[in-house]
Amino acid sequence: MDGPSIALIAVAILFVLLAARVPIGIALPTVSLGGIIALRGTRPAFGMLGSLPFDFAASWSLSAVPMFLLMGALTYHTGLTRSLYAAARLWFNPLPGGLAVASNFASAGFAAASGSSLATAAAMGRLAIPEMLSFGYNKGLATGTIAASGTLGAFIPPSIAFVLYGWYTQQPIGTLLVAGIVPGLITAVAYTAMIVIRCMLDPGLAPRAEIRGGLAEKLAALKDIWPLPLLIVCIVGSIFSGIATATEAGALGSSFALLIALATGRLTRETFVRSVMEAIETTASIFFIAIGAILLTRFLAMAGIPNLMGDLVASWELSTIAVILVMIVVYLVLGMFLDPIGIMLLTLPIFLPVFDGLGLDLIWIGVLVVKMIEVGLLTPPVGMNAFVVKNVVGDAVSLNQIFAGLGWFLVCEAVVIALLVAWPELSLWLPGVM
Amino acid sequence: VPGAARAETSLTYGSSLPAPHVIHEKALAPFFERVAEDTGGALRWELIPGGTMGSVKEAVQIIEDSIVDSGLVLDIYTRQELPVTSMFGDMIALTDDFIVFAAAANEMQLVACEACRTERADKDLVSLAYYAPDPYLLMCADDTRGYDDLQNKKTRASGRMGVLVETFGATTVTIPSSEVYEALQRGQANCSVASAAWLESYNLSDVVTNIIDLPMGSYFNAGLLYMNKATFDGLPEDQRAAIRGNLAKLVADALFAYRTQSGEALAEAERKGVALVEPDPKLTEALAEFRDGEIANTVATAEEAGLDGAAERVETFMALVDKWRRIVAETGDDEAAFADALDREIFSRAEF
Amino acid sequence: MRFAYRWLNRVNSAIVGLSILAVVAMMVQVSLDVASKYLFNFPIPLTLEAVSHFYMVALIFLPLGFVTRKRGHIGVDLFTQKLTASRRALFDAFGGVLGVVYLALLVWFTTAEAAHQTRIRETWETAFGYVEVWPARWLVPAGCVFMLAWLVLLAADDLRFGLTGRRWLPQEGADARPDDGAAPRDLPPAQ
Ligand code: NA
Ligand code: NA
Repeated sequence: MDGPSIALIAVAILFVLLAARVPIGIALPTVSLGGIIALRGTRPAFGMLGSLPFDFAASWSLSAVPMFLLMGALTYHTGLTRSLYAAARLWFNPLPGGLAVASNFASAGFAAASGSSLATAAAMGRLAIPEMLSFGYNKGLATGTIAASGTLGAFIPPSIAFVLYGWYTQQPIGTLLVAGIVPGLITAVAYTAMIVIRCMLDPGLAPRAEIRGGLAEKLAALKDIWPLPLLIVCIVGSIFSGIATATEAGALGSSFALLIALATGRLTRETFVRSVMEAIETTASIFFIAIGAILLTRFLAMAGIPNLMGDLVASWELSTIAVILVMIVVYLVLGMFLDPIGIMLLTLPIFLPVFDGLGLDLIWIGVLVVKMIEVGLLTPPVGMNAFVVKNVVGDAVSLNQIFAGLGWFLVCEAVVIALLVAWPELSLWLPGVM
Repeated sequence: VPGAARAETSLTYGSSLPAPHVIHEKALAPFFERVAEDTGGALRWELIPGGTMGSVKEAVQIIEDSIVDSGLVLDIYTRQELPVTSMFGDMIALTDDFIVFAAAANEMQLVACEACRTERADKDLVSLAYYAPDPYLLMCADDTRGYDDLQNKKTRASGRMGVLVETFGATTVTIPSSEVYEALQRGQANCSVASAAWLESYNLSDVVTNIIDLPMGSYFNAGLLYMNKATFDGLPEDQRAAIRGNLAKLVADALFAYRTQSGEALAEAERKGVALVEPDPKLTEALAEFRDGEIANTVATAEEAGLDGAAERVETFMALVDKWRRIVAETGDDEAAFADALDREIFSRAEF
Repeated sequence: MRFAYRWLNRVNSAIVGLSILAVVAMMVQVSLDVASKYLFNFPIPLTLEAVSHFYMVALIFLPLGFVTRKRGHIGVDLFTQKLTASRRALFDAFGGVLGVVYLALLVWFTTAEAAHQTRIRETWETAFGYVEVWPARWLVPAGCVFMLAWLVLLAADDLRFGLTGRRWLPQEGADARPDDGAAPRDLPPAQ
C-alpha cells in the first residue's frame, strides 16, 4: 500500500478512537506509530519514541506556557481577580454580556504580554471564567469567550507564531509582528459585536445583576482592584522596557503575582500549593497531547502527504484567490487535528513555492497562516485552546459545551478571514507606515 | 537508457534549516538535480526542511534509524555520538577564512582521518560532504564600535564565541537565536555574535547600528550530507558514482553561495544605514591572543574526553589548513577551479 | 489492588513534590536572572540550560502519573456521554489498554535513550564550557513509568466495573462528575 492510503486509513482510525473516548494524547501516538511501522518498520517508529519526548520538552521558548499558567492560577486562588470582577460587574452591567466583553479586551491586553495563545487562554481562563460562571453566565459563552480571545495572543506582539513563520519563510519578523496588530484588533471587535448582539437577543445568556450601583459605589469598587492592573502593567512594562523577553516575563509575572499576594496578605500555603499543582497538571496534559501531535506530523510527512498536496495544487493551475481558498480549507482540516507548529511544518514547504510563484506578499500570507492555525486551536476534535480552558474549569463545564460556545466565535472568524483576504491592506497598512 | 527494468530510488533528506535557506536553494537542490540527471532519473531526492522529521539535536539519530535516508548534521550536537569527528568543532574561533577551513575539514574528515570514518560507520552513518557558514561578526544595537566600548556590554554568544567575547571584556548572555531580534531591540542584549545572513533572516538590520568587520569564527565542520550507511551501500554502483562525482560542486556551491549572500547582506545593511566598522587594534590583538590558545584548548578538551591522538589529529588538520590556504590563494574567485581542486584532492580519493 | 493503590499514592506525593520544586525553582531562577542581568549586568549562569533541560522536562513528565490518577487526560465524550456508567467504563478500559501499550513502549525506549545518553555522557556546550546534561534524560522514563502504573490500575478497575458493576478503587476526578457548574476545580486530593 502506498503512503497516502496508509495516511488515510490512519486518520479514519484516529476518528474512531477519539469517538470511543480514547484520550487524545493516547489516540494520536497510537495511529502515528502504527502508521510509521506500516510505512517504514519498527526501527524508525521506536527510535523516534525514544528521543522525541525529551527533545520536545527541553525547550526554552515553551517554558512561557507553565509560567503564565502559574501566574493565572496564583492571581485566581489568591483572590486578586475577584475584586476586579466585582468592579467590572458594576461598570459593565449596562452592556449586554458586559463581563464577556470585558474579558475579551482583558485578553487583548494580556496578549500584549504573552507570546502564545495557549498561555493567554490559560491565564485569562483562570482569571475570568469562574467569575463569569458565578454571575450565571452561559457556560458556552463564558468558556468560548476565553478560548477564542486567547488567540489574540498570537496577533498582538510578542508572538511565538509569527516568530516561527518569519524564521521558516525568511520574512522580517518585526514587520510580521506589526502586520498582526490590526487583524488582531479587528478580531477583538468582531468578537465584541457578536457577544453584545447575542446577549441582546437572548438576555438569559448573561444575566444582568439586579443591583443598581450609583456612581459612588462604582468608584468605591475601583479602589480594591489595583493589584491586577498593576500586575499586567508590570508584565507588559517589563517586556516593552526591555527588562525581560516574553519568555522571561512569564516567570517574572508569576513572581510579581506572588509578591502582590504576599503584600496584600492573601497568600496561604494551601493556595500556593494549589496554584502550582494546577499549573503543573495543565502543562503536563497539554504537552502530553502535543507529543502525539508531533508524531502525527512526522508520520504524515513520511507518508508523502506534503508532496502529494503540492503536486495536486500545482496540477490544478489555480488562480490566486482559488489558491488562497484551497489554503484556507487545508488549514481548516489540518487544524482540526494538528498543533500549530505541526501545521506550519507540514504545509509551508508545500504552499510557499506556490505563493512565491504567484508573487503574493508573504507578510499578508503570514497573517492569514497565523489566523488559520489560531482557528485550528478552536476547532474540534483537537482544539488546544479549548483543552486549556477545559483544564482550567475542570468538571464545571464539559468539552462539548466549550466547543458549542466556540461555534459563534468561529462564525466571527469566518467574517474576519473574509475581510483579511478581500483587503490585504488591513494587514499591510500598519507595517507600511511604520 | 536501455529498456531494461531499473530500480527507481527515492531518498529523503532531513534538514533542520528553513525551506528557503541558501544551503537548500543554492547547494542541495542543484546537487539533487544533477544526481537525478546523471542517473537518468533513477535516483531522486526529497528535501524535508524545517526540522519536520527531527530537531537539529536528533539529526544523527533520525539518519541512524532510517527515519530519513540522509540529512544535515551539525557537529556541535554530536560531540558524544561522534567524538572524534566533532572534536575539530572546538577550533571554530581559528576560522579566519571559512572557505579554507571548510575545504580542510572535508579533506580531514573524508581522507585523512580513518578514526573519524570508522566511528561514523559504527553508527551506521556515512558522511559525504562538509561545509562552513559565513563567519560570525560582532553586531551591536547601540554605539559600540570597538574594544573599549565593549566592556561589560551584554553580548549574545554561545560556545567558544561566548568565551571569546568574555576575553574581550563583554558579558556573555545566552539567548536563543529566535529571540535575538527581540533581545537587541529591547536591550536585553547590546550586541550579538551573528552571521551576516541573520541581518536578513532574523531582520537584524532593523535593530543593529554597528557591525564590527572582524571574522571571529565559523562552524567549519558542519555535515552537509550524511547518509544511512546501509542505504548508501545498497545503492547500485552507478548511483554511488553519480553522488561522488557531484560532491565537489555541492561543497563549492554551498561555500560560494554563503560568501555571495554574506556580501550582499552586508551591503544591503550598509545601504539601510548600518555602519560597517573597521576593527580597532586592541580587538584584533585580543582575537589573535585568544586564537593562540585555541589549539591547546582543543587538544586538552579532547584528551579530557578520553580521545587518543588528539594532538596529532589537530596537527594534521592545521597542515591541511595551510595546504588549502595555498590552493585557495590560487583558485581565488574561480568557483569551478576550486571545485576541481576539491575533486582532485578529496572526493576522487575519499573512501566512503 | 488496594495495596498497589496506597503505595502508588505515596510515591505520587513524593513525585508531585519534586515537580512543585521544579516549577518554583524555574520561576525563582528566571526572575533572579532577569533582575540580576538588569541591575548588576550579571546574568545567572546556565539559566537557559537549567530551564530547558531540567525544569521543563521535570514538570512535564513527572506529573503524568498524577494527571492519570485524576483521570485528567482530555478526551472526546460527545459520542459516549449517553451510555451507562458501566458501558463508558468499558470504553475507558479500551483506551486504558492502548495507553498501557503506548506507555510501555515509551518507558522502554526512553529508558534505552537515557541509558545511551548516560553512557556517552551527553554534554552541552555553553558559554561556561561543557555541562553534562544526561541526568535530565532519566526524568522522562521516571515520569512515564508512574503513568504506566496508574494506567494499568485504572484500566483493570474500569474493566471490572464494566463487567461486574463493582470497583476496587475509590473514585476521584472526572468520573464523579458533579456537573452543576459550581466549584471550578477541587483541591487535588491526597496531598
Ligand atoms: Na502576544
Ligand atoms: Na483544532
